Amino acid sequence: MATPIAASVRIAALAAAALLVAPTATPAADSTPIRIGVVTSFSGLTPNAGKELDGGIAAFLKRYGDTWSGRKVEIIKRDDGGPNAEVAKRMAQELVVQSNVDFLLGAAFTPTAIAIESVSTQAKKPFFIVNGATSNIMNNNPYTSRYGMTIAQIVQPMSKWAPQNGIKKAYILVADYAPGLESATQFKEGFTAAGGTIVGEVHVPMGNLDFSSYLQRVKDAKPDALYVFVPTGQMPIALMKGYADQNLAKDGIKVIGTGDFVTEDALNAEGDAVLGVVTSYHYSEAHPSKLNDEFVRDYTAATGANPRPNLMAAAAYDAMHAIYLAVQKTKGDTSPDKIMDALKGLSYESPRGPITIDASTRDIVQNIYLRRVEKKNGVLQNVEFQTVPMVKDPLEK
Amino acid sequence: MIARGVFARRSRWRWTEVTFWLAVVVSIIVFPTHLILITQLLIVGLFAASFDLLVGYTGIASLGHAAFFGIGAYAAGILIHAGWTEPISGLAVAGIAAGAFGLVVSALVAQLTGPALLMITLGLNLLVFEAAHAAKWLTGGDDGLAGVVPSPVLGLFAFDLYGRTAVVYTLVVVALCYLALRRVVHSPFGLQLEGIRENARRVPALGISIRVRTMAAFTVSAVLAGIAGALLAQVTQTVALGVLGFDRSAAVLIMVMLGGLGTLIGGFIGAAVYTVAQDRLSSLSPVYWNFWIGLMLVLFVLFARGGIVGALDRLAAAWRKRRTDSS
Amino acid sequence: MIAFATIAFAGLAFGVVLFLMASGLSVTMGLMGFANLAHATFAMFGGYLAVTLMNAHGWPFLATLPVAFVVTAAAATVLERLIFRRLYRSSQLEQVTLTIGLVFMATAAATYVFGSDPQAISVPAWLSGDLVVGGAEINRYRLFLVVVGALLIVALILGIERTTFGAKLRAAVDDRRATASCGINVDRLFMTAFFLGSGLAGLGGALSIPILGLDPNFGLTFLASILIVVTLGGLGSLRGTLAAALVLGIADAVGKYYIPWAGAFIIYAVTVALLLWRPKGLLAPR
Repeated sequence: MATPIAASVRIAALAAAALLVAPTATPAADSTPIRIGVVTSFSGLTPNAGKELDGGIAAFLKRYGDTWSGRKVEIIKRDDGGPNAEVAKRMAQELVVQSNVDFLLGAAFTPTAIAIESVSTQAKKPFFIVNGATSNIMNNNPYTSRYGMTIAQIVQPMSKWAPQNGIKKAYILVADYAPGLESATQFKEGFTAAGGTIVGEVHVPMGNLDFSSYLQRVKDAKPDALYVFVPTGQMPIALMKGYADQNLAKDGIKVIGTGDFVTEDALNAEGDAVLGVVTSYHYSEAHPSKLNDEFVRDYTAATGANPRPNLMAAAAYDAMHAIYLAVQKTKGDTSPDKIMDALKGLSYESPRGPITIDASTRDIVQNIYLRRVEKKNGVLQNVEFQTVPMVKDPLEK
Repeated sequence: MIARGVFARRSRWRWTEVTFWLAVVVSIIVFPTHLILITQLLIVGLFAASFDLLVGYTGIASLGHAAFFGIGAYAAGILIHAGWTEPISGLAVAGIAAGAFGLVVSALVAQLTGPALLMITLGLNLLVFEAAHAAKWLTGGDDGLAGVVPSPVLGLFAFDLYGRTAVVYTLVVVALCYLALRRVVHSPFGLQLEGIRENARRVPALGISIRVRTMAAFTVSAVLAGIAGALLAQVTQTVALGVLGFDRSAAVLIMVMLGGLGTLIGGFIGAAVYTVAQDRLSSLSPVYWNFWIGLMLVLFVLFARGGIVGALDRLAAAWRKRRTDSS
Repeated sequence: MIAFATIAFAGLAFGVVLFLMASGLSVTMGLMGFANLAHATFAMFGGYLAVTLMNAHGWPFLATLPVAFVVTAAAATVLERLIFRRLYRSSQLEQVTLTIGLVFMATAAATYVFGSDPQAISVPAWLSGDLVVGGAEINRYRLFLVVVGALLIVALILGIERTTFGAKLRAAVDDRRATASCGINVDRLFMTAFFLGSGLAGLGGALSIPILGLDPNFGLTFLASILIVVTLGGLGSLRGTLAAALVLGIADAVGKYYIPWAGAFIIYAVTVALLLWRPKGLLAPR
């Protein structure tokens, strides 16, 4: 009876069974779930931040599954309701002491990022900053790494591009808050060093929606371009509306800046007013790559593309990816020092292009693209036309 | 003799007060992983009680109380950044700073009532916010002050991740402030304040200057709000512009209304209910929790006049009545 | 000078929007002493109504305006009959708490229904762009706002000062009890005033979208400005509210142009100073 064929069938069946059972039969270093605590803004000033993060995480889990190195992945979400440092800190602390998370991920503003960092440092829980763009905020927090960008990193390419492309005189209009002011400083420095002249500068209060007076000042100064940094939401819509109504384009005044006021979630509402705006930035929904197409597809499947994926979704995806790769390297071990070692110098492909987590600063190194707002298949997109490869944060100490 | 009897009756401990403080101590022991929440709840409770002294006892409605809380928080934070890390003296300095501002504001608004008072206090709150925003060299602007780490309390107890030191430190400070507040409202001065609230026109007939009493109440309230702000800065070890936000001024009003106006303990209970509800709801429904908070407020105003303390007192009275009726 | 005219005109148009959103609140606060913090939320309601009709149902912009007025007014009046009415005798603090609760609910509901993205609408071609008048560039839409606003203001002031309804309303603002004892149904009077006031807010919300945009936080964002206008104007005084709205609108625009570094300071400082000077309103006797 024991023919060779029957024997080999039996062996094959056993092998198949072993393979099928393997993931549960051979537990990895640890069989408790990998818990990732997310703290960001799901309500308040920027509720889109939370939705983008959610979508980015969902897209990643869709592609890579929710069991890593034999351990189930659990996501626990908390809302900080805006730039409220003490709420963010409490939420992070609770995630650590109540939910016993292995990792912290999130933040939508620098102050909340700093608050979560202090918990990360004290508790030795690796923290993955999704958004928080001030330079040098990680220096004394060895368990933090960044997946978004820094202001200086995204501004410098624009400050060099502008004078090389016929823009000799610029007027700076920024929102009166830390990222806006830093953006203005960085642009001024780079632009004047490259031979440009700043003919005026104005800091607009946060939440201001009537730009007519400011735009009149700009008109009076007759610059070649208006350099803009305002947070997404209603401000850029109102600003660009004023730009169109007061016909600054007719006077030959272009609008340039970093991509912060033309993020994808806001483009539909901003409408044709932003057509032709040139910005420098690290992520565009229209970035031409296979991975990005798949990312956008998975994100859309998870969220219905409401809001459309922007830098935060991509950064959340990349932060999840970093955790995934690090956990793979440590074979499921989530002890903080091993994870931080595994992260250092990590290079992988992001929906935005290639990225590296700098081995010494734990900060992101990435391509910055120059893009122009155009209609693509009837949809407003930031179409990339020039790449500045692998930019480090120039202010990093 | 009669007068002394009145004060004794008024200052007797109510069962809601006793229950609240017992509940705090019990929850510290029973929920060792929720110490941070309990700490912040006590701090916000003190802030609300300081507001109650102003609104509930003196009848001065304000939409700008966060200004004092925020000034206290920044004073404590700036002091630590400047190298003075001892926490208890930090509280004192913060209380004085907030109180000084309270004194100035009270001199401006002591004669006002109604919407003008609300709008001026709101306007001053917004002005202080803008000033803190602009003075980046001092306050860190939008980025706030990070790494505000006080030295160990009494040189012995360092602030730890689980918030053990923070909760005990906060409990002691807040309880002392509560005792002080109780003494104030149950003193003759407290009675005069209630007199101002009930009938501002008649009080001067008793030979009492409304202006002086109002200014004093405003200043005491500001000092306590400042201490609450300083506590928050010390235990969270950060100060951000949010401590001065107008939404904080609105939230404190809501808390006092929830808990019960003019009861002192109502501020604490309202703060506890509001903070816990916010905490629970925001983890159940991170995006839409505001809806449920809003619904809670609406139902409270419609069906539970006098806030939680009022409702509890009514329940207790009904229960006692039933017992006496049946016996 | 031309720059000043352009700027002042833009400020004037902003002032008109403020007036439309604030006038109803001034009347209801003056009449019943009801502190309705949800008033700006009525404006948001009108705004979302206009956006939905235009973007989802293809209505022309002008046709959405009367609908924004009537539907907002009707919805707000239902709310008044069901809830607000029970609180006329309560303290102002209870009213504030209840209405701020409604604002929270409306903000979350708007996020749920319309998403958190800001909304925008495109106005007809004849309303966009600039009109050059003697060298000054006048924005057409703002001109439209000022014209519509002026017509409404004239109608309102005539309505209040020349009609029996207006006379009753003025009487009731001055002394509710005495008016009621003359056999005037103050409750009905108030309902009508509430209907009109909320309708104006709804209309103001719809009209403001082309210059201010719209998102679920609208009800909170503009609350402070509206409260400031109402207080500065003096409760129940239509002319006062108009003066306050225009002063603030123009001061804001001119301030931003000539002293842009002062930022948000100007508007708050002006408010506090004016209120300390005239706590009962700009046009009221001291």
